[in-house]
Amino acid sequence: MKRSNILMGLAIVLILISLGAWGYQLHKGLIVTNMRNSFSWGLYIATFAFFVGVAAGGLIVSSSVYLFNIEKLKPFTRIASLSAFASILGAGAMIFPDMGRVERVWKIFVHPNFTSPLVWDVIVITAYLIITFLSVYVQLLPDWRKEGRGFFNNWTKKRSQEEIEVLSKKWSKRVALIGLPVAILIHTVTALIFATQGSRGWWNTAVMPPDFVSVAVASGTALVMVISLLTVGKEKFYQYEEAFQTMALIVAGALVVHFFFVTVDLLVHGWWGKPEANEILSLVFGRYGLLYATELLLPAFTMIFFFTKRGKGSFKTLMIGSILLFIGVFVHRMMLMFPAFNAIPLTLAIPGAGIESWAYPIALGQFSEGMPVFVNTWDYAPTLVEYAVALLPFGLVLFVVTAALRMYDFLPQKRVGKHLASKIEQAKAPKGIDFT
Amino acid sequence: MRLGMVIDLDRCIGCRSCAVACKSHNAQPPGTWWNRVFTPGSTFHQAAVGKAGALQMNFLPVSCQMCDNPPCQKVCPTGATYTDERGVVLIDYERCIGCRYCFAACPYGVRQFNWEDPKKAKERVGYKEGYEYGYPVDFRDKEGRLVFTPDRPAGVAEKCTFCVQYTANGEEPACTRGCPGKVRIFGDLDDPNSEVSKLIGKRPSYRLKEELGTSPKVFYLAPTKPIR
Amino acid sequence: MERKNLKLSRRQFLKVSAATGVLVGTGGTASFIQQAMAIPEQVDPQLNYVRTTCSPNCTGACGMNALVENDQIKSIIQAADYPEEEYNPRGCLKGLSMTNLIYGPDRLQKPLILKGKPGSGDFKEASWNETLDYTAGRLKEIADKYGPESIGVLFQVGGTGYVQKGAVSRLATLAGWTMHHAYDQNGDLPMFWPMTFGVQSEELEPREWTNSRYVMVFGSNILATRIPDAHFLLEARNRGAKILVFDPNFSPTAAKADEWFPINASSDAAVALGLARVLIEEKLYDVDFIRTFTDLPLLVRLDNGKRLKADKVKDLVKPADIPAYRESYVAYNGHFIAVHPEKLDLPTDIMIEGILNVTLITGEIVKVKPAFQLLKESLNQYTPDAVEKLAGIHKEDLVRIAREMVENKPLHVIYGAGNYQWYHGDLKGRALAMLPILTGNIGKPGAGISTYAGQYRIRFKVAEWWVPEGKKQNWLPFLYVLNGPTKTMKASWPKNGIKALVVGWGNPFDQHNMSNKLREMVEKTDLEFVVTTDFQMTTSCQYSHAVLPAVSWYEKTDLVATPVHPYLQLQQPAVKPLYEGKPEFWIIRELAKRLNPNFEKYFYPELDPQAAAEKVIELLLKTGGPEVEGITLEQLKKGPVRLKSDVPGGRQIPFYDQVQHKKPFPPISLPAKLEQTAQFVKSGRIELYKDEDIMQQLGEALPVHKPPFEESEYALNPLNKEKYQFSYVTRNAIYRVHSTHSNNIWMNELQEGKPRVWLSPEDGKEKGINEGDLVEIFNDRGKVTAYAIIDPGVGHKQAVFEQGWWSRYLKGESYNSLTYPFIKPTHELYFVPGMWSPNTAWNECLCDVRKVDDVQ
Ligand SMILES: Nc1nc2c(c(=O)[nH]1)N[C@H]1C(S)=C(S)[C@@H](COP(=O)(O)OP(=O)(O)OC[C@H]3O[C@@H](n4cnc5c(=O)[nH]c(N)nc54)[C@H](O)[C@@H]3O)O[C@H]1N2
Ligand SMILES: Nc1nc2c(c(=O)[nH]1)N[C@H]1C(S)=C(S)[C@@H](COP(=O)(O)OP(=O)(O)OC[C@H]3O[C@@H](n4cnc5c(=O)[nH]c(N)nc54)[C@H](O)[C@@H]3O)O[C@H]1N2
Ligand code: SF4
Ligand code: SF4
Ligand code: SF4
Ligand code: SF4
Ligand code: SF4
Ligand SMILES: [Mo]
Repeated sequence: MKRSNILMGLAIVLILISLGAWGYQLHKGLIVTNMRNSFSWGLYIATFAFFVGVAAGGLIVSSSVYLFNIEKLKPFTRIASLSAFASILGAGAMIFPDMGRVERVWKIFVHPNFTSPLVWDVIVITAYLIITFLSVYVQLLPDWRKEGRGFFNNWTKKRSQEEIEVLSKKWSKRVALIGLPVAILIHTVTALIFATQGSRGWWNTAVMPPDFVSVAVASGTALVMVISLLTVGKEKFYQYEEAFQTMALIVAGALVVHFFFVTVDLLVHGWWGKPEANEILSLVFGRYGLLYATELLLPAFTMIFFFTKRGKGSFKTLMIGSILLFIGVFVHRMMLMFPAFNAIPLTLAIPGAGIESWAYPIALGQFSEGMPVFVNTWDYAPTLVEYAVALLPFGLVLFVVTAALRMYDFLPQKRVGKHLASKIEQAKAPKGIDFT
Repeated sequence: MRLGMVIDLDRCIGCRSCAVACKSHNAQPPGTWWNRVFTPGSTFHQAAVGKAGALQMNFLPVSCQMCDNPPCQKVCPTGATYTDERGVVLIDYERCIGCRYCFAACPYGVRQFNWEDPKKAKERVGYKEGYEYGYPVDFRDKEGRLVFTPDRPAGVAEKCTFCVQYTANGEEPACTRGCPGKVRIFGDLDDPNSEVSKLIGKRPSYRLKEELGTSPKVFYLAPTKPIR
Repeated sequence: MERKNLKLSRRQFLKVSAATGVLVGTGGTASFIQQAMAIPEQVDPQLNYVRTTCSPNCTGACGMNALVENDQIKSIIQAADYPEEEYNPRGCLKGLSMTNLIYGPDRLQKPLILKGKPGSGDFKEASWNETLDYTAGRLKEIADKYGPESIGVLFQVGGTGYVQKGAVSRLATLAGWTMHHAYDQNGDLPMFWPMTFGVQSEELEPREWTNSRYVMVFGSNILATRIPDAHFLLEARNRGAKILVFDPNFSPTAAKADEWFPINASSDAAVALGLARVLIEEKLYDVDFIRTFTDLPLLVRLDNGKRLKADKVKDLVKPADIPAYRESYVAYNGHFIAVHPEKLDLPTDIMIEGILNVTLITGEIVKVKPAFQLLKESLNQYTPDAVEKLAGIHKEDLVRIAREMVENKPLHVIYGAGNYQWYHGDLKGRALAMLPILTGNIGKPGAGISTYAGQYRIRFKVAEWWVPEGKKQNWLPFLYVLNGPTKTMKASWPKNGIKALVVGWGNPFDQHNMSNKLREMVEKTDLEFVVTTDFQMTTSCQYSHAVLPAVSWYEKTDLVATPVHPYLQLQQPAVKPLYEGKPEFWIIRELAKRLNPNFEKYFYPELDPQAAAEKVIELLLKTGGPEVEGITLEQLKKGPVRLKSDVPGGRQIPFYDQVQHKKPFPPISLPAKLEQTAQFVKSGRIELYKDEDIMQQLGEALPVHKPPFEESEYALNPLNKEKYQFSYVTRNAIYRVHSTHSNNIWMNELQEGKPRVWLSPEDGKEKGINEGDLVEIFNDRGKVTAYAIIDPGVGHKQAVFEQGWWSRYLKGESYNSLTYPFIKPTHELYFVPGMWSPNTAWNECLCDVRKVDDVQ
């Protein structure tokens, strides 16, 4: 069986599992998750944030080509756009199962409340979805024109191939340039969802939006790199070596910025020594120390690794570095939740009792005999249903990317001399992942 | 009009009657409490706090603080959470999409979610068939928004409404009527002659997490009894 | 029955708002309400509020409004309609959540007949006819075989429902059954009352608390056990009264007090005696008061310890007009005076200290001393140093308190039930009573000593309904059923013992099965038949042979009165009886006619139960005596009506008449006749000195301190001293009324549905027990498991358990399997049911604790 078929099959299975689980959840209510009143966002929102993060990569890569004239990256602008489109689609899809009343989501459009960062997030994410789609679209137009395929492209028939190529180039650039600020915005606004909340000390920092951007640049670029690596295949790696190294450097550079933000953030949290902040730090380094270590160490490894010659030097190392980074970033997204929700906002100092912060218990929203109803901490761990539902964006991304790569050529051969390229292709093609 | 509540902690005996009155009259399903009373510092309500020789035990009822600057309302994407003309922060059960952003936003842990169909949760208790508790009639505001119903839909947020179904008709909230300690005083903060305004003027009062700038309309009068 | 429509008319509304205005003391609220009224009403006209009275065995008797729609109670809220605003609103979390019991899963639906073993829960559902026939048949068999007096009747406290419970009393009397009085059964009979004052028990109504300036609370957890009244204590404090709490454990009440004294377990008498010593040493006592109202000037013979009787003294003439139940004793002011027991007047120069020789009519010369002198001598041992050792209170505090007490009058001493439910509860009470007595704080507003247990004293004459045609009743203190008869008992023991129990309004198989006795008795068929009426499937129902589904107080008519706010109130049905439940009146009538066709006529056979209940209420009002004079059913339907009293303003101030008008002690203590109770204090005075033989033999002629356990646990088994060092203190929780509400889901949400044991951090450490650990509390008699709370306010070697859990929550065990039915001989001196009678001592119980993992 073709590898792409396997991947398509896998994507469909993931989507079906997820939809099934979601159906079950719709029937039973969100009670089937392990979220409760005191810990009201979990895996779904973390996954959403993760995909918003990786969605950045696309437009960052393609716009760098235009903005910074990094020509080396040019061959990957299509993949980049595709990766962005798929990721933001996944992110958007992830939000729906998190809603208690998903059938009423339209109310956001009818009665939007513009003080809510969520409304802005909906706006920018929708915008980004359109932009990334356009980006993919305009970049594919020339090929479609040539091969007489694609959709929404009847109008191209009236024009010449050259015209379309020029148009595509022009619009690719325009879209990328409009897209860049939107890409930054989706991270900023998504981060603002959290960062605006004065009730949650772990989130409530101005560093969060820029840090979100830095992580997005790192993880988004890494995703583009991974898809590109897989598309290109091990064998053709050296042809694009420079491009990959550039991407690895972007990743590593973004991570430097990220760690800079993390450090100043922790310093500011810790330096003043407020009981609330201490509480959070004790959660971060104590109870969730292992997770936090994962969040820090894996990307740190990638960062250092990608700065080394060896690290950015091969297919394998780049893949490993990227995957470690994804894990780290995913954990980072989960770590948005744990310390935030387990540091109950209503904490009180009890003068005279030597108690600096006592958390006022919250009613869970569920009662079962012999179990507490009021808690000041909640051992959140996603349920199987949640894991299953959270497969949705993974399935969608896989599906969209595989389907697109299978249908259209996302790796134009222009970069390398045409002859060389075809030779190489003849020699090595079968070893790469066969998307056709 | 800005409706508010004064809770006189000096008089509060920690009996939790207000919490139960609230639960009953507002038809809260099992596990849901709009109004809670705890002993700050203690792992168990009404257990002593501190060390021998310096013990204390105070009680702190907490329900929605009816913020004048309510973060829950600000974050609510659909405007399901809004402040009515009497200054009461309410939730439209028909508009809430269940995103739970307000949960993340509220610094007081008062928001409650219907994780499952409340009817099912009540059924499991084993009440007499066909029995439902709570004020039995829906209440809609002037614009027709559904802000109280005994049959809460699944998947929506809920919280203290200052007993809109009662107070809109000129009655006192259930917790105020249900408090045997006469601790909870309800009234108009804009009216300088109201009992709430007078008490706030007369006695040292504070609000929870004032530093967050939420400007709660629930005021606490400090307990006068110190540690012993 | 008056049903108030919810839709308020303008006028009604103004009334409501005016009342609210008064409540918060301002018109501001009223004006806001008026504005709010502009909003259109959205109220369903189907809704009704029915005013009735909550009446479980906390005896709070709070007026409640039930919100009724379609014959279902949707919610309950305080009626807050007492004419005295101070009493509004009354109620608590349990009363507000009664709907959970009324409509809950444990509600009895049908009559049941036991199929399997008692306690197995193996019942068959049967028709009323079948079950009543079966029950009547079994009871007749037992009566024929063992005599009707071998059938014991437990029907708990009268004050929570005079009509329905009266029906039980009526039938029991007709049938010649034996009745067990709730007061001593529950441990709620503070025996110092009859000993000292000759009454069953008394108390200031809580509104009076605000008149006190000094309040000493000895082991009464007002904040938890008198929830509707606790605010009066805080108001008193805020008006400048000083509140002192003496309790081994830091309670919510202690937290609100000015001072808390963590005294040793059951050492209250030592504290009181130490204080009394200071009062006497420093001459701080009210000499006028003790001369006029107490027995302290009366002379006591040193040869036999008896009071010197006037007719035994040479040349003294005993006044002629003395009833048989009184005695004339002797005092001295240069001459011997025959003291008239009904005239509280002695010359101001009466001698209270010293020693005298007196010549008796026999010519014999004996030495006598005024009781005061003896008291003073006996108090010598209670020096501040000694009391510090006995009770653990600092000696400086003791001296300071004694002085403060005198400077801040009125003084009110509150003596809690948890505190007198000890073997020497009577001694502690007698010692504590000395504080207001010596300082003249009796019979005045805000002054005195009060015991707030279940307020069970019958408040008006009920005999017309309870005792048909003045027939004789058989009474037997319940402790004898558990303990077996004693040699010294005055009550008569049925020749075949108790063979059957008729239970209602109580759950003795959790609350009273000490040493698992009751369960054993059923299992071994010593108790051949138990029939219980309840509206819930309690543990006692589980152990019954027949279960008769009654109804809750929201489904029937009754009359209620409690002195914690002395109002007469109606219980009116808010809804029709649920399932097949019936009011007890109906059940009793049906049983009566099956037992003996002649009995039926005593129960208004022509009327339906509600109508009959109203008839009974009219009868009770007509024949109830001065307390209810002029009160009509119509008045009661409109709202609560205050019980009448001779005190100006109708206030409930014990001994007001005695002190203000120098009337002899005791006042009438219903339902007993004066001649029954006056024999307790023959001198007609407050008696600190008891000259009965048993009192002297036990060294208790004067109040003394006796340490706990020595005459009880250690006497039972000397090994207990080594083996069991923890006090098993079973106090009340805010979440339950005894065992009622054990299964209330909201109460269980509030406490995780887990029974707890409270331990001090030191004891926890020593026993390796941490917060949340499952702990076994045990002794030779039984065990109970609970989750640990480590509380720095808990006293050393105290295992504090919140009583009332159904066995279902305790692995099938009753928490009362550890306790023991000790009987103190001084309680057997006289026998007047529920007045002078062996009182249960729940807290006189030793145990040990261990982490459950340690149990093999
Ligand atoms: N919520 C609620 N209220 C109730 C009831 C209920 O079941 N629930 N029941 C009602 C009835 S019937 C009764 S009898 C009353 C009982 O009401 P209370 O008299 O208040 O009785 P407890 O709760 O048993 O104990 C009160 C305190 O006595 C302390 N104590 C125990 N032993 C001693 C001692 O030797 N000396 C001193 N100084 N203190 C001691 C305990 O530590 C505890 O804090 O409550 C009535 N009110
Ligand atoms: N170890 C220990 N034991 C104790 C105590 C303690 O402190 N420690 N406290 C003691 C004290 S002070 C008391 S007063 C007793 C109380 O002991 P009980 O009075 O036996 O206890 P309750 O749980 O109040 O039982 C009342 C029962 O009556 C039922 N009932 C209520 N209303 C009605 C009605 O209208 N009709 C009928 N037929 N049934 C009704 C309720 O459902 C409940 O099952 O417990 C005593 N037991
Ligand atoms: S009902 Fe009143 S006294 Fe009781 S906990 Fe609530 S506010 Fe405090
Ligand atoms: S859960 Fe409902 S009320 Fe809360 S923010 Fe979302 S839509 Fe608004
Ligand atoms: S307390 Fe919470 S729910 Fe209530 S208004 Fe303030 S933020 Fe909103
Ligand atoms: S005002 Fe009403 S809704 Fe709010 S806490 Fe009180 S009883 Fe509950
Ligand atoms: S349980 Fe007792 S205190 Fe509570 S409402 Fe009922 S009668 Fe009043
Ligand atoms: Mo009692």
